[in-house]
Amino acid sequence: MSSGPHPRFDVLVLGGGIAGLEAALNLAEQNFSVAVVEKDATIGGKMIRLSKVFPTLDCSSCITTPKMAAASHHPNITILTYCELQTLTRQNGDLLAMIIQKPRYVSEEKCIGCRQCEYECPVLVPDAEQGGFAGRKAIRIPFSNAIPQKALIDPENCILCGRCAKACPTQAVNYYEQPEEFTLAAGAAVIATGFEMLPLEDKVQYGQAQIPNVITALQMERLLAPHGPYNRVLRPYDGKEPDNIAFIQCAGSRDQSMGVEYCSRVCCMYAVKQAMLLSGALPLADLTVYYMDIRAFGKGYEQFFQTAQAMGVNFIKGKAAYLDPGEDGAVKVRYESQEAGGGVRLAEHDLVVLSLGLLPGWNPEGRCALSTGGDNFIKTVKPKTAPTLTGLEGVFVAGAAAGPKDIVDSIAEAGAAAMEASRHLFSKQ
Amino acid sequence: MSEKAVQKEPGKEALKTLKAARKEQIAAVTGRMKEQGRAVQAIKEALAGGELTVPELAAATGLPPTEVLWYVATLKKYGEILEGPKAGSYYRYRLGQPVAQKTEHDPGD
Repeated sequence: MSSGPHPRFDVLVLGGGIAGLEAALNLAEQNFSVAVVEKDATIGGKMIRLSKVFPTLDCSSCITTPKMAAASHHPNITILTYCELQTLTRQNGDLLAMIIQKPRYVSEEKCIGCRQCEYECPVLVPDAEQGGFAGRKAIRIPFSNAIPQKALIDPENCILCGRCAKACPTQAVNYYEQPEEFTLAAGAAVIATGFEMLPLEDKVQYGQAQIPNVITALQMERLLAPHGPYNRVLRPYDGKEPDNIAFIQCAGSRDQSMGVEYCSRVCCMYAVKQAMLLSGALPLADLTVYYMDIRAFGKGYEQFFQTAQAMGVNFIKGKAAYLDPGEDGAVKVRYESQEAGGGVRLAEHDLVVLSLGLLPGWNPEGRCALSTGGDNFIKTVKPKTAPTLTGLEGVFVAGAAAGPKDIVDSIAEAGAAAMEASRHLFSKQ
Repeated sequence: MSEKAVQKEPGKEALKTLKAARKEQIAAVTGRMKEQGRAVQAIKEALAGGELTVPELAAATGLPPTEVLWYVATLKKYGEILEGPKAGSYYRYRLGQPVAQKTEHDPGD
């Protein structure tokens, strides 16, 4: 970083998920100074919230945590969490990023991550980090391997009782913090803003989140994670260990009625992965996957799918039309079978997981001159020969920001974006 | 007035002002917090009589099972409830020791 009217970095990386961290580490290793701007209170993105990864079934946080730690300790990387990019403009050849630091109401410098405040706080709030299946406190550290390990207050749920401030051994709590605006200059930028999952509430035919025991795939990731809300797989309706679990594929993807006409690419494999993990966690449970097509395109993916079949996961070719609540927390699935005999059929399951489509994690409209494609993901100008190039000179894109993709492709693309940024910076010297 | 008190006074005033500005929100959250307190109390009282499953706790407290499980998962996280043995398709839960005095962050929880 160099000084001037604004702190200057060689590269600004927008997004601290796996693609952003990989790009940042690649650039930092080439001795470029990098600022990683993350909207969340922790880096790690979606990957740190997953249980395991396909097709190797490696522990997701065991892979992500070292990358997070490497980035946060790297002398050439500055991590800026809980920051929102307001505008990205160009001035005299440099990119200027206007950023807002959202208030944590806890001093990052003073907080030592002891969580005394969290244990003292009397307010319980549904914990989005655990799929809403358990509560957190109004002041909390996001999760146990969050980086940085710093507390933050959710002001909408804080009653200003003062217990956290009293418990804090370093007087880090500050109820009066305000958002702070600052500007960074950079020679290049990598956009790695990832994806969000289609909201469960959006699909009328699948109950709009009103049917108990219909959950999203990301919620299932939390149920499968060793440090999940129940530390085991239970039905959120009543804590029953489910005997019969179904996955509904293309729940919102390849679906014109949802405005998501594209294939979200990762749903087939994460459903296969979750079914395999469930067959390990609940060996006696019946596991069914309702699918339109299985898209096992990556290295080792077809074998992974075949292994799931050999393990007894039941794959039914058919489109689920409606979900309805059944007796005692069960979920009725009405589907059109495309198998021998065909026809409309009805099945009942203890728990249903919707493989929902992926949406862009960030919309550049009104913030910078980047354009988006018909799918609303960042548009790339040379999708075949240079897939990380955007319409803005010196601004590159990596990972799911440019379209749904798996972790392997996101990491490969992050490396390519870092190389393009490096080349751009050298060409300016 | 001591130096410490001089420093403290403006903080108190500022907190008062902030509380006044957030009066309605604080009242709403406090109402929710009281409901939560009653639910937690009812669950703990039921568990004081012995280990129970979520449906048994729901029957004992009159709370919906989904809500009971949410509280059980939350209290388990903070060490106030522990998981017991399995009973059919359900797990039993029992009272644990609160971890309010915990000083060291446990990466495993």
